[in-house]
Amino acid sequence: MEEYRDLFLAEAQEYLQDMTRCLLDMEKNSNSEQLTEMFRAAHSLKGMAGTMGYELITGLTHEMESLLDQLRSGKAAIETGFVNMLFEAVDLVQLLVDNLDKQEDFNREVAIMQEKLQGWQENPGKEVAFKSDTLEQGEQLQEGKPPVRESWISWKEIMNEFEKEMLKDALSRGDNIYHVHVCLLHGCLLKSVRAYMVLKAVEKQGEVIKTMPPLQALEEENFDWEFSLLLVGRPDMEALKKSIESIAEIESADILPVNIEDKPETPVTAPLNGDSAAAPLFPGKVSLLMENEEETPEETPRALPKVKAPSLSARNVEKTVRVETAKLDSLVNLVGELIINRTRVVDLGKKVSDEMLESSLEQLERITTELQNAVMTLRMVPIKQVFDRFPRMVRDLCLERNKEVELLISGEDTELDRTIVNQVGDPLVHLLRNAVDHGIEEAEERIKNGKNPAGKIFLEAHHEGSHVVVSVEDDGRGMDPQVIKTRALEKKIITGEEAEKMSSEEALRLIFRSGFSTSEEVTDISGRGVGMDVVRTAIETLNGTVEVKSNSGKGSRFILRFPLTLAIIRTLMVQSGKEVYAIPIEAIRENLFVDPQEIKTIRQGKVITLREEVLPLYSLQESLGMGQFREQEVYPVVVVQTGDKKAGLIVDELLGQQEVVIKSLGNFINDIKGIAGATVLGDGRVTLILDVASLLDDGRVNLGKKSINH
Amino acid sequence: MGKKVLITDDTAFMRMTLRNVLEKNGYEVVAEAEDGSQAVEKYLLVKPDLVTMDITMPNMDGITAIKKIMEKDPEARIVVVSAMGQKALVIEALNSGAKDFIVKPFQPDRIVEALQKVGG
Repeated sequence: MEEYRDLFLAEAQEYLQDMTRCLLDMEKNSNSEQLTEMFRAAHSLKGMAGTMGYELITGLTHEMESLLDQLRSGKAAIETGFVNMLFEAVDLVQLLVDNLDKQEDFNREVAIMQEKLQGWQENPGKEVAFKSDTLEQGEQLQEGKPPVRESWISWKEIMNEFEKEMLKDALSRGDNIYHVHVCLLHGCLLKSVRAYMVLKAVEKQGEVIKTMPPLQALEEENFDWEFSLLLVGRPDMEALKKSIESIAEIESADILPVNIEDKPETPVTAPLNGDSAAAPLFPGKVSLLMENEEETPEETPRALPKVKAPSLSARNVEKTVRVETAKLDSLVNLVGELIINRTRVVDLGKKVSDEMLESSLEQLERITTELQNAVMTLRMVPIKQVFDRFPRMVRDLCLERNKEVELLISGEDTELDRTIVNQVGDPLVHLLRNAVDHGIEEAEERIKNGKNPAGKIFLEAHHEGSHVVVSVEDDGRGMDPQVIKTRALEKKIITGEEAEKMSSEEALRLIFRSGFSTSEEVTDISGRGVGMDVVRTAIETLNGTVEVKSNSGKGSRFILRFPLTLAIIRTLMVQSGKEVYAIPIEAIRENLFVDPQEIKTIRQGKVITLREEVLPLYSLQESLGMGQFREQEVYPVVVVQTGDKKAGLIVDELLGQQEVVIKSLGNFINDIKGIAGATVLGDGRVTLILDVASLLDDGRVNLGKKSINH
Repeated sequence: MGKKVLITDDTAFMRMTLRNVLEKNGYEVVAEAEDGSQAVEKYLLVKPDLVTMDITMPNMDGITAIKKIMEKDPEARIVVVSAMGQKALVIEALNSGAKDFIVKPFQPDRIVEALQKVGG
């Protein structure tokens, strides 16, 4: 059951996102496609939840489904109130999905929501018409009880590879596939034995590949009054129906031929962009109906696939395999080790200088590099996962603030490492919230300034070399560098002298300084800065950078840059004492050679003046407690920065740049301040990778902390 | 005349209840048996169209009775009327040749429905 649960969770999220997207579209421009798609999502979710025995989710999605079905067939106007209610329902389902273990906590909420949904269905003012012309013909819509139309889509979702093989075999034998839906009389006892009798009857006519709910649930009576079977064979449908219905306490049995679109080795040829009437969004159902009316048992299923479009989920199942992330991580780790060992072998090979060895080593090098790249892409996921929740967020925010904002998203297919994807969400939420709250003006103000009353926010992502660039741009009021400077002066973040010398770009960057603003304070000034230092820190922990551009009166643009992956980083290798350390390039601003005479002492800390800025200096060796600071003729200094903090690290020697694979230090010595991890060099030596953020944060190291912000 | 039924149950109460329901619905209760061996005996004697069979009974249980009746008359139409919680026994009875089953306490219309479906 556990593995089903993971699959359920993953798919449920997809369906919830689909529903949210449909609702957002619906609000703008309602058409039957969204209704159909949303209906399909609710229906699939219901089927899955039912299979898993999640009754609350099943009940709730059932109401949603029924309501959507009514709307689909009727002409009820879709208004914001209605969409809001559906949003609430989606939220509630989300809540249930997020809290699978304590669903019963939400009994009350679900009951209320179900009532609400039913209320809409029964509202006579809506002129909801059943079985109107827009409904696909031949469909049996039975009011009051769940409609009989578990489609192929739902089967496909719960079938394993073995069962799919069985299906393929059956098809190649010329057998047909049938969906058998059985309803029991309410209140019947020993349901499991009823199911057993049905199975026995059905198996006389063919082979049962799968049941919904699964056999075990049938045996344990974990189902309501209906269940379905997937049957292959060449049964006499009428006779089969009769034989099932002749069992006591069986209310009805419906047998529908099923047609599946993905034949083994047959590419999907259906015209997705073709005639929309021939390729509806809910293909499984339509095909069921068509065959129900016309198909003769002799007709091979192979002839039919062309007329219909593959469903989304059908294609996904075909092309992707879900793998546990832990397995991926261990694969990436292993490849990392392989690369390290390769480097060692190649180094050794050079010493031997044998021609044959050399050429095969080259070969090895090339292949392992390709392997590494391939494995890295496995960890890549589209940033869509994060972007998808923003339209909803912006919409809600707009309702709250009474603003009109359009969020335009592009590049959502841009891929990056999943560890990063998981963490870019928060800073982006911050930036988008700010854009709506403070960037976009009130409608009146916009009209006065000759702008469209509806604001626009662009969220965009693309690749740039080994980086992913995400930008958040709005066409709001922008920021005025002068106002920011004034504010920074008031807050004593900068001195008057500094303010005068500051360029407008530098002034804009002030918003990222800690202490620049809090939410109460910004609203009355230039409009930006809610926790911008938080945003910046979050981005920097991902080895990313953030940049801001603004045009007062016209809008602002935040540009975020992230590395594609965190598993491999570019570093500067430095020697300090007997050790070699790796410093991530992203944290390094510049390298200097400092004359001892330039070093001054302020409050027991060493500092130098660098371009009229006071820069505290630390000996790396001392900072890490690895020994005493040694006098030298000239000090190589690496200037590092994280957030607002900048400092110079005195080292013994700069050794050069290298890409390294980060290895965790393991559980015992994890979490050492100043150390992010370790890596193994080509010669087999272990090198520590510095964590600049924690190094500058650590009180022990950071003796001159107070002097930094001066 | 309605179909002829043989009622098998060790409790007089259940036999009476069944008789009332069946007679109200047009069946003719031609005999009652208090245990399995009586059921086999009376089946051969009266050749009923339908049999209701309890499972747990003294002397001879319902499953043995079903087997014996089926041996003598493979066309026999037997409906098991079992108590709750006898899932395994019900399945055994079905595999022994019973045509269908109903669980006590039953709703009157359900036993009628079962008998009708089985062939009466």
